[in-house]
Amino acid sequence: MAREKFKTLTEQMFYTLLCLREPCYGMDILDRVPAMTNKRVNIGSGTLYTLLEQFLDGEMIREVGVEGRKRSYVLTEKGKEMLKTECERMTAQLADYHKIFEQENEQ
Amino acid sequence: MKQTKKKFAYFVPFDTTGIQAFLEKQAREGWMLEKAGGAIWQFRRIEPKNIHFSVVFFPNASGFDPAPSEAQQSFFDFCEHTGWKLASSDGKRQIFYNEAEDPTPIETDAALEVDTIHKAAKKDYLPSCLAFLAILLMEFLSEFRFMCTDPIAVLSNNFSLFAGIDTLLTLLMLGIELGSYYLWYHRARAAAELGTFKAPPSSLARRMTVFCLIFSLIGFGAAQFFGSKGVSSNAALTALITLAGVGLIAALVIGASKWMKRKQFSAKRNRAVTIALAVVCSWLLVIGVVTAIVRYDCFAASEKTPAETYEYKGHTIEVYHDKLPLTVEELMDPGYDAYSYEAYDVQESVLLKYEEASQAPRMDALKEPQLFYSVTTVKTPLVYDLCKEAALRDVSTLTGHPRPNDEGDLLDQFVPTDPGPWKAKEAYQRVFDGEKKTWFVLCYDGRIVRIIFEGDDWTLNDEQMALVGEKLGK
Repeated sequence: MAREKFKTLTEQMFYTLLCLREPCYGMDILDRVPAMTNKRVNIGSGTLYTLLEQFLDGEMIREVGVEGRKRSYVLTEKGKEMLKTECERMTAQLADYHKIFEQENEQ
Repeated sequence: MKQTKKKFAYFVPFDTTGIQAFLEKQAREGWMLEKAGGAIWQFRRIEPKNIHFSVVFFPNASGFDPAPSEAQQSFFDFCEHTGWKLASSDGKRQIFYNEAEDPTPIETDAALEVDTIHKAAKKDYLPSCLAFLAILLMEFLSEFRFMCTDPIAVLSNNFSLFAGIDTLLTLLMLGIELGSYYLWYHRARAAAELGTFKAPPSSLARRMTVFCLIFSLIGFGAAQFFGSKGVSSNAALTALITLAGVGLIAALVIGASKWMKRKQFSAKRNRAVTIALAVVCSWLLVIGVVTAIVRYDCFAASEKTPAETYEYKGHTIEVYHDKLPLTVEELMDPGYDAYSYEAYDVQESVLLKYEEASQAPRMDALKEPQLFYSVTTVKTPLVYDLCKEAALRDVSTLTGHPRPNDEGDLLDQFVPTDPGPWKAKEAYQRVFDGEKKTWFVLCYDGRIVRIIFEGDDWTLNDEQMALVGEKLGK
């Protein structure tokens, strides 16, 4: 079954939104994400371009500046909420993981 | 040393893997892509090296755009930022190259990549394929109907035969191509859920279509060249002029569109003018061809000069003195000598040869004995039964469609009769409303004869029947 759009975020979506906590040129995200993740996550230029279009359509980010063809974006409240929900989901997953393995170790 | 080259390579637009592999091989051989095309690809010479290529789609671009839009330019900037330089852009398809050893791919999310390809395909590729499929289906159904009603006419004419084969193969291949695309799309979406990208189907079906079309053209040409008959020279000329016309229209329409791009016409205006031009030119071609067919009677029998003519009730009747394989005089003494002996155009294909002849009296002497017959020589046993059934069903061509009576039996049909006297394998006689007529279908080895004895005085004896078998059955 197809993933419902933005119900959960892929790693690439997550880090793109994370970069946009403060205004940032779209193109700079291409460098920031590998730097932020020690090159564990790389975003392809085509993928990022499409993601930014979809985030704009979904009102999760908004455009805040234009310099020639370079555009900068920032998270909207909806985007922040999405990121927070995703973070809580992952935290809960992590907590469940620790709970299970800590119980095993105690036994 | 040649610094540029053009290469023929045929791909479906979304065959990203196939195109990438092709371009990377060319680069290893010292040729860098300069301009991508539908079938002709332009290259310039470089030092042989390993270069990565990436074929991606920009769904909002159009082949009619005078220049890349700002959004598209911005997309190019994104790609250039990660080392991917634009090699060629044609419509929605963008081809980038990267000389780094292990670059980050342009597309790193399988689901987004599949969606982008499908979004691009839905705008151009799929609508045009589906429209072509609909046209081919209509053409195939019309040819199939003709084949069902008159298989001998179709199978004895190389033109109809190869046109039918072409339509069927193209339909089949287009069906396979579209089917494999949709299958890929559904599988690729499922695979993307698991994070893997499934490459789109290859261009095999499309290449097979081109191969089949070329094969059919060569087959048709060879069949004509090696002496088979079937199309009059006028018809062949009309077909050639039509083909040339189609080529001319394609060149004109593409040329006009390119000119409008150079002159910075908007994509919307360019598309509208191009479509209008294509429609108008196609109509003009159709009107021209139909006019030529009607005026020069292209598909009628080839023009023959009658031996003489006479007037009958305001009509000019032609009289011929062709040599016929069987005449009334060989069967009986008619006591009449003003016949017209006419052998009609022979239709011959790689499968069948169809000959037709008539010996008719003058219009004011229709009671005199007369003879009409056709001989179908079947070159391959595969179509023998089909031709036999058609010959037996063919009462309709002369009397209107057979009509069933209240009990459901046909009033007008061919019924089996003794083949012995005819020296045939099978023989059938026409029975109309319970009355036996002197119309026969005679089946010999590799031959089917339909013979009609009209006029008075036909009481056929064994000797006459044997002579028919000897003259037409061998």
